[in-house]
Amino acid sequence: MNDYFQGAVRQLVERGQLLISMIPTGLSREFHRLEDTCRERLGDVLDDLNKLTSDPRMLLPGNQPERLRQFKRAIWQMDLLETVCISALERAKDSDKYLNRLVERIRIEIAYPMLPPVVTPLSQSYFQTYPKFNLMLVPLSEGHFLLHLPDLYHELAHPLLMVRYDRRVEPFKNAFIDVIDSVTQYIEDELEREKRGGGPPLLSLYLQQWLRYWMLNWTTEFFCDLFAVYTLGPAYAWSHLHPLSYSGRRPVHCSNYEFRSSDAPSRCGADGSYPPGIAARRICGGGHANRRKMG
Amino acid sequence: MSQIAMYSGIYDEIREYAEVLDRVLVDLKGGTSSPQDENRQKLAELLISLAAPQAGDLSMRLISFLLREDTGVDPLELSKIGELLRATRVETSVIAPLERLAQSLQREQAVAMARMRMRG
Repeated sequence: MNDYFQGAVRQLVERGQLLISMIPTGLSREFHRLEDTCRERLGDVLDDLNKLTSDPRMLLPGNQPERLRQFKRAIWQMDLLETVCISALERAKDSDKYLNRLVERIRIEIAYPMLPPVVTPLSQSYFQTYPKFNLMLVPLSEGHFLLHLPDLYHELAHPLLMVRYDRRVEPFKNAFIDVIDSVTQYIEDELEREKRGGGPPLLSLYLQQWLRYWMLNWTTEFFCDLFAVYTLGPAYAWSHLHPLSYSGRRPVHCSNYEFRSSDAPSRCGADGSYPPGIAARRICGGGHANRRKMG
Repeated sequence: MSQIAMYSGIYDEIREYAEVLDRVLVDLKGGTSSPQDENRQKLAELLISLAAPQAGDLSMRLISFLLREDTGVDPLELSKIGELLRATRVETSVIAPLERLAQSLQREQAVAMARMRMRG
């Protein structure tokens, strides 16, 4: 087993070094920070892997669970770096500059408090952001069309939730925490009531699922939508008519977003899809028409 | 928009705590752990926060939420272990529940990875 492990680690170290050598030379400055992040993270993974084979404590039988977990984490981390970051660097083209410059202009215009993310047209599934890499993926042809560009503002909000110790971002994060605390309290009260009242078990399951969606998805998306509305204005709301139309969901379906146990699950997003009901449109409709700056 | 941002954030946060936990476990098993150890203090903070889910920063709340859903994790037991890690020389009996927590963190990390591979 140890021989296998030593061989597997050696192979992974080799893979990490290969990935570093795949980073192109002469990347334009938009990609410098991502390159730095890639090199640093790959270096950390390689350091960890070397410890797994050289640290005498990691060879002790009692530490094999920890050793195996660390090995798995190294593989996952390398997978992520390879499929997301190195891919973005490896295929960087001059044409990427347009979207990156656009995001830089947006950043200045709205006084965005962080560095702009690197934008790369590698996405196979609409807009995606990797906050820890400060990387935004958009579909291949996105830079050629205008209709979805308001979503750049939404994506810019995602990294803000990961920022620490920045006073300009604290009100945004504190409001987020207030919402998830309120939702948690409300749904836990509902669950307790259901438990006492002996209601149908299915309803409790729905409540648990709703809590999960609020915690891991909906609240984040709400806040990113709100950020986009406050910074961009009504164009953001209207840009969503288009994706909602072709995604098969009815953009003007729900008339009331009150969270009630009597609501049919399909009307409250029991499938976890976002936005649940018409909540986002209602927020956008009540949003401010004028552009605002942060802070 | 996809859920990648959230899951990649959770993946990173869990990864950080999983690293810390494994380092502390190795130290505890080797009898070299001390309450002043930075990793041990960070782990203690996470464990204590498990019993008070509406406390701590955002990442800690999300990790607490995910772990509370795991039936293999007893938040009160882990919170007590957190207090012990802060203060004293701990018994080896804490290793088993911490191992279970490490497995739970690994499961959650695997879920986050799978979500990201599905591209949200």
